[in-house]
Amino acid sequence: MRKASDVRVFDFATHGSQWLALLPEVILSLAAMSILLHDAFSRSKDPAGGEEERRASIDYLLTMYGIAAAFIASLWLSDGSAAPDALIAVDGFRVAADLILLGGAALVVVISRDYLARENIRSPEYHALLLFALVGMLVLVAARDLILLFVGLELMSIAVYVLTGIVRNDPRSSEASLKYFIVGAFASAFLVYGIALLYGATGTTRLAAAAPAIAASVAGGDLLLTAGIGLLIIGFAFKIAAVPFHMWTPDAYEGAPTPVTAFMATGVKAAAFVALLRVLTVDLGGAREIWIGPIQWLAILTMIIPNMIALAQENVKRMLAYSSVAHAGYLLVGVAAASALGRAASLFYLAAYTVMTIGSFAIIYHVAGKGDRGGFVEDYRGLGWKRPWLAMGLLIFLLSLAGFPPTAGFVGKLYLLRAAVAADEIALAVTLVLTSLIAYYYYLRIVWKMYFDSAPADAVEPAKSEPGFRWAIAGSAIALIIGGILPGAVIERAEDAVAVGAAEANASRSVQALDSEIGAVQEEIPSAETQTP
Amino acid sequence: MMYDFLFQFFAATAILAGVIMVTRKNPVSAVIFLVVVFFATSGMFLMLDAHYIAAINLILYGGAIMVLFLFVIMLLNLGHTDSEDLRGPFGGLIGGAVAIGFLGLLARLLVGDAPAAASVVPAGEALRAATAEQGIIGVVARPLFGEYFMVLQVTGVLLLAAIVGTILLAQRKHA
Repeated sequence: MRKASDVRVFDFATHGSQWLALLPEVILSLAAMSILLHDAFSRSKDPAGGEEERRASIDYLLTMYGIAAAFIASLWLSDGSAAPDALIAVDGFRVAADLILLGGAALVVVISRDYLARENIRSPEYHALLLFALVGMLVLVAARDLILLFVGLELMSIAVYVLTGIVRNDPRSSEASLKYFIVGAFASAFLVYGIALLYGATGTTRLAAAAPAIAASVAGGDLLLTAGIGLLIIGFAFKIAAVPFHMWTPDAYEGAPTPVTAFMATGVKAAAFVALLRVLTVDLGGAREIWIGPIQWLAILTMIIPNMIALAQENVKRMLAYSSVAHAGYLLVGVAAASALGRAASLFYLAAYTVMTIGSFAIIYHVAGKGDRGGFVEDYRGLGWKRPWLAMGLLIFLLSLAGFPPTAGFVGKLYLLRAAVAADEIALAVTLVLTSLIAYYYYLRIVWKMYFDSAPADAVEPAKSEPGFRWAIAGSAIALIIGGILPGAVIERAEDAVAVGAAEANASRSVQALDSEIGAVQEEIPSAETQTP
Repeated sequence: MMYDFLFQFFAATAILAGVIMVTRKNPVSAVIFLVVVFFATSGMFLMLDAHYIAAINLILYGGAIMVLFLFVIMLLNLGHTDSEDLRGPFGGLIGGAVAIGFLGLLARLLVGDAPAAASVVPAGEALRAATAEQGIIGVVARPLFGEYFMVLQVTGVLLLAAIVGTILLAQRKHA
């Protein structure tokens, strides 16, 4: 039994309290630094082949242990709390986002193994940069101050720019990295200018503490606030690749090493998305009338256009890149709903999206073969009979991406629809349904090729995968099915996670701030008790 | 008394480091002793209550420009000879002692109390009062190392990731 007094309160009065509030991030940073140090001290020895492989597997283990430890640290944070206007958020929303990001990163690390071996990528910095990017993502979802948010976003972005270009002898990888870097720097400039204008409008970078100033600005029609919010949305739209700020996405996603593409499509997008969700619907909840219009348009365009373009793609990696852009549109519906239900639906969808996207990218790099040469729809002919298990995995991931029952993708979409309808966003709900129907075509085309076309005689057999890869794929597929049949537990968890955030949103709007917050805490306590057996 | 001692300490350090600098054969170690000169002169600026100039002297000259010098030296591929200039007989000992000292400072910081939570940069009249009391550096430094301490830490990780990434992308291919 857990008592109310056991709730860990982070008051940030001491440096120790600040360190502990960022414990998962600290653990991951230490893991990344130990990989770098391990590399520095082991490289000078014997450069023979065996040594190299041993070092790589130690790096792999360090990464996995680091992520596992950060996972535990996040769970430990889940019964903590902090003031809503503190620098760092300690609440269920952050912990839920942390768990999604850490789980996604662990999957990426596991599926990277085969790829790194096949493409002969020996840089030990791969794992270190992946962890640094993960630190940036966790900081991004934990930040309640726009300064910390910006630093986290940059840490994430810079590490991923480098990861994109890590295959230096492949011009496509370098091109993708350069494009991503230039567009990313451009987006950061928008974001930081937006932050500066918001500071000008409210006098603080901590928006949660500025609800009265925001309300006054909205009432007075302050142009500074409107411009700040607009630039902020543009900066985030680049990061989550929302139309019309998505032009870099297909090239960057196609050129990057495929596990990194999976990481970009899930981790980077999820982290930026959670931050956007918190900034807009909680911190700027009082300025909804300013941002709701742009967000609705972004959502509608992002659902329609990429789904149309994906229909014409022959390269499966590029097709999935457009599919990932389209999913940003579905997620934006959750932002537009701007309710606790919308936030919970977004969290659930992000979790499902992370699993199914990483899984499908993992399988397509296996099918594409060395150097990613054969990644076209035609290469999938007869895969269902040649490699039944691999094809079965891809089938489940694609069905989930398309939103077929009984997969988590279906439940996620249903849940987003419910949030949209509850918030009276009927146009968005209709667009979501119609564009999902369009998307069926290009997902099912691959399924058709796998099972109803025979393999050509000269087809190249995809290489055999290592056990860890098979476990990861099988686990992901089973998780998607279970999430589709019995979503209750995950949905409850997501709703618990946003309960506190919802109380804050109310607090920023109404005078009875204290009452609703106390109510939320009282609700929180029994739900915390039910979690501990 | 204390004032005189500090001045003589900084002055002596500056002159000594300057002499060592011009007598080094290795350009890398010459640059590093020039950094020591900058530290000493910054100390003297501090004693003159010129906090801003002291900080800028350190950040711009001691930090940015000297790093640029080091880069140029490394680009010209100098500094591989005369390596005894770089690692003196007690190099390891001194380096170890400095490292342990810094670790101790960090450990103290870890458990120590951060300054009051509400220490953000004041504005208007309050800024003038705070400047008179803490000096212009204190007004910036207190929030930076108190309220925004973790932001500073994350920025450190950011710079490390940027350095690792730059080296990774720019290094020569090793077979």
